[in-house]
Amino acid sequence: MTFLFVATSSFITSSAANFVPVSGAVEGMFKFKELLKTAGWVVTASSDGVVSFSTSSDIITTYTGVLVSGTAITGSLGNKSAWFVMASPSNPSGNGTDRQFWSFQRDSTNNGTNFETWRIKYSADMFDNLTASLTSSPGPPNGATVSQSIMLGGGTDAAPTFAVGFRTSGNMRWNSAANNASPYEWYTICTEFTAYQPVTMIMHDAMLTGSWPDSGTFPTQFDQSPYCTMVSYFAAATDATVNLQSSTLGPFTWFRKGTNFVAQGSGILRLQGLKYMGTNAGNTTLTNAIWPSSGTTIQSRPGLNSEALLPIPYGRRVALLGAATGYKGLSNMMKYPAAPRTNGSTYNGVMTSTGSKDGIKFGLLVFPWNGQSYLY
Amino acid sequence: MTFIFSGSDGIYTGTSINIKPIHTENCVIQIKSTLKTAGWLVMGSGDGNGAFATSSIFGTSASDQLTTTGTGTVAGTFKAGSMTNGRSWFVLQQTASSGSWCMQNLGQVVGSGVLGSTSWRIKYSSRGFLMSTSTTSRTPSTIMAVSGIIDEMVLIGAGTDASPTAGTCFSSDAITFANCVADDSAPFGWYYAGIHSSSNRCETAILYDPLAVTGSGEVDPYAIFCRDEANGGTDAWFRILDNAGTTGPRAFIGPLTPYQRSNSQCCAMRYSTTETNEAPPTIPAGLGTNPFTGFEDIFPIVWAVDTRAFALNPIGTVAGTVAVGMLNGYKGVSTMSRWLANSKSYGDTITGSNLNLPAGATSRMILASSLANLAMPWSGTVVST
Repeated sequence: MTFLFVATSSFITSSAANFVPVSGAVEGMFKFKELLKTAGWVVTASSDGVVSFSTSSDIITTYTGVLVSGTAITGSLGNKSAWFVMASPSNPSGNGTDRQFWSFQRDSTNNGTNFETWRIKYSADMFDNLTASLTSSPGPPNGATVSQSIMLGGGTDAAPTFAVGFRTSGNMRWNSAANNASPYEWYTICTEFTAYQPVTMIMHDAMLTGSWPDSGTFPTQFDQSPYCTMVSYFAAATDATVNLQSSTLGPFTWFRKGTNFVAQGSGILRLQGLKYMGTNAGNTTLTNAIWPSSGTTIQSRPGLNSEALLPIPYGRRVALLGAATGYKGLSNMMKYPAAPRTNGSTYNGVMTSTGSKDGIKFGLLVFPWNGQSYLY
Repeated sequence: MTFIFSGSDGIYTGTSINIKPIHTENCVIQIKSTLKTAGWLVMGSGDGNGAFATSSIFGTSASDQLTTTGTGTVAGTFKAGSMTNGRSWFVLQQTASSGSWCMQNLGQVVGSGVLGSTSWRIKYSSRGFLMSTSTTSRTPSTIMAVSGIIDEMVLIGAGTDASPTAGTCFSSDAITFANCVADDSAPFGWYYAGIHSSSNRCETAILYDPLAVTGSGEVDPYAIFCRDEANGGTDAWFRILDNAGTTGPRAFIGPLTPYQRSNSQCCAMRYSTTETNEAPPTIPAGLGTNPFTGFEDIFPIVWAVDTRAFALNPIGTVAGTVAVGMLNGYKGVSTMSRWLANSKSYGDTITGSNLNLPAGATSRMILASSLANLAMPWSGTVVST
């Protein structure tokens, strides 16, 4: 598996990480789209919102143009109501797992403005392109809304409402990365310029091989959707990654076990990234959670390439989350840091044992990184 | 990898679970046979009174000198090749990473032997032991011994190889159900649970847990645990939660480089949610039965060294020399031990769960009464109580 940070397509060749998008989120999301395509994802439907749309291909070829004229430009993501649907390669984790879908739609107000306002959906089933139109992104098949989650914004596909998910143009540093092999996970993190807080976090995480029920002895418990997804944004200078641990604002998953996903599954609902607890010296009394921690200094490992990072377990517990409880798996993409470090700090040895600056800390989490120093 | 539940080394042949060895030495012989059958090599052994053989060639075993138990014809005297002899010892090594266990009977002095020893010295080395330093009654030292940084941890007992002192281990004769389960290929995980037959409490617990998802550069990805509670008030397995005392598990952290090694207290972490640090924690025992399958959810155990362990015994410089101490932080994820979503009772077995059983195992066994969320690979048979 290799995490990519550069989008290379027939539309553009550009870094998708560690840059300030002059044209704001439309530039960032366009490069994000091209990066995912470079990594193997497919645009299954798209619309420029004003001129044309397609239920089979990517017609969004640019994000520029509207800035000059303020009017609609064919094929521009800057047009109002432009949208696109990304689908992972079939059997993204192998072994019969479900294909993954995301839908991204621009604000419907004006061409060339409100670049930071979007509607974002996720589906672990599919989107039905027959329900799509020039200004309406496709909905779930047979109206089965249980199979999709509106991650940002609201309303319906026919009457969508939008929400701010990004800082305005020139006021954030954009970072997208995508794995070009199974299980094809990716993330987008946008940091602002005050303490470099990650105020936007969009991620498509997968479960670590071996940490989820993938086959074998108990095939009836096979998890067809070993993924965890999240869109988190804070208008204030607040760390958006903290929502990973929230039972009310946390990530989404199709929390199901078994092959009959309708009968045995939960539909898409929230789960949490769990943290670790210690005990006192007498090992009888639980103490507060100790990792990740905001105030504990962890000694680095002498001789090791980097400090050891902790795996992130996903689960749903009884007390807060009702009946659909249990364990999901361990994150394949992210880690908890072992010590407090500033946003943009890099790590060695994260993706490979000899990797240099191949991990980066944003908020609570450590993500794959491209070897660069973070630009502040 | 396939877990096995019996031994057949020609010295002991038979099941390695659900049996009450007549004497403690038989229990140790049973462990040795099980591990040998699983692929471990006897790199050295001495009967404490003359018989002695070692091998210093990695991957080539020595002749096992401990072929029997019992005393000489005169009570209290030694018997050739007997595990009952005072100071008898052996070293077992696995060839995946060279991890080695050394066990010595300290129940009697050299030349004597009395059945039913509960006095032992047990140590572990990640790189193996220096066989040339051993004798028929003296265990070998660690290979690396540089300025106080040594590549071994003494788990039971204390002292030195030349002057060892004993710790209590293994129960009195014929009151303990001995259970030894081992993986017969790399990474060679194994465990031993000695369950007191009247209290159903685990008196003796030994764990060699291979870890996955370790930090880069880890060269000994194992959690090591050996604890005896002498049928006290605490189940021995409960000590795997001990993050800062002296009773908990351990792990080597750091590369095999002088001055950069730590023999650290490494505890089994529990998981929690962010809103509350609830007791019991979410994992284990806070998630309930899986609603879609009706089965247990089980979870890999994460091993780590708590900051408190580091605070009590930090690694640092003493008189210009780097001293042994704790390195803290994350160690790895268990590949053998599992947490349960619900508390169970000792001896319960589960066959249905979200994660696959390892090859050879047909169930998981709950092997502690006071840590009833801990499950290990098991044969599917009913647990003797």
